[in-house]
Amino acid sequence: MKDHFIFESRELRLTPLQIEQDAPVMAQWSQDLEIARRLRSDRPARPLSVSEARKVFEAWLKEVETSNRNTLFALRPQEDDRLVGFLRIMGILWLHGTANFDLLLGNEEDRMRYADEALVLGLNYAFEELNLFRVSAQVPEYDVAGRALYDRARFTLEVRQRQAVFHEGRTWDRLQFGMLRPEWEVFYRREGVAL
Amino acid sequence: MTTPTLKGKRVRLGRIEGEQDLESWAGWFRNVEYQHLLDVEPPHLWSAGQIQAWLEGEDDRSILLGIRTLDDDTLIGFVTLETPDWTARTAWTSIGIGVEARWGQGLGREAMNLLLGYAFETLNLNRVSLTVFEYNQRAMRCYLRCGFLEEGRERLAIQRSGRRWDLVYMGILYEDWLRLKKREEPVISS
Repeated sequence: MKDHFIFESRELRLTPLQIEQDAPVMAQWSQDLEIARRLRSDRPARPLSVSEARKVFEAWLKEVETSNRNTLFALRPQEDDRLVGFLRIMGILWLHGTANFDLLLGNEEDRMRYADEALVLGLNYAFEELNLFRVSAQVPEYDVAGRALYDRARFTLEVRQRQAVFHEGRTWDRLQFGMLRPEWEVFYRREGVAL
Repeated sequence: MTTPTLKGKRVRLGRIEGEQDLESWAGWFRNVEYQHLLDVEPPHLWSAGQIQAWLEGEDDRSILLGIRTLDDDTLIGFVTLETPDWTARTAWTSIGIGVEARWGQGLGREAMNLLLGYAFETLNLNRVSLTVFEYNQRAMRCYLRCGFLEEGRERLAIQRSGRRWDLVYMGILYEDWLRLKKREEPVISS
């Protein structure tokens, strides 16, 4: 029987963003300058106020509504309503069946616990519902946990852009991982990746 | 080191303005091959007015320059530097030669070289990136000769002509560009 509850996994839920309730959490996370950098990559990284966090969210939602190229989920545990992160599927090109994953978890503990489940839910949604042919994800070289995550999820390292990111006083490469639909079918449908 | 200039031997980079430029730009899109080589979007046509509105609405952080031939000052294409990251000192570039009669003459290569000089020596960038479709071999050869290196391939990312093709990522660092210049410039004895 087909699972009708595609937005749930054992420990995690994909949910809508709740601007008022989530903005203070995001403002708190942005004290981590790496998160601040990822939230607004086109500006100098700095902590956001609650009202700035709200504006970031409003811009995200507006893009989802107007561009038809993005989706956005807030990640929350099964056991409570706490915000633990975001999964954004960005830059969908419907003609080519391609998109980028941007998975962001607010702190280390939640990353360890929920990142894999979030990725599996996102892949399922991308291939089963959006009918994409491939998804990509960018990870800076220094993000060891992020690289390990995409390795575990059976993504392939496809691109290494030399000296493309600046972090802690020096430049690092930007890595790009990809997974194709036929690979997802083999790894996740036939072999059944265990969570 | 000479001061970089936006003028080469056969082309120069300059502003795009005036009705004639806009009409040229609109006309290039009638050649679907130009669109297939340039963009991931489905081919489409725009009026000169729509193009003008789009140019005026351009994000002022990105740079768009026309490529003009020196002999008759005709607009034959464009180059861009987009989404600059002034912290990492990187930007993305794209280039198009709209006049098909001018393809394969090395004019794009000259324009790209001018743009790279500007990016590295005027804007102090350290890296310029681009993507190119696997089927656009002529462009890939041009970029390699400009000093870009292939940095990987987004596998089967492009659906065109009934099959899938890779999206090829290329990049050039300032040090790559300097090394190439050193090799190309004649040694001046004093």
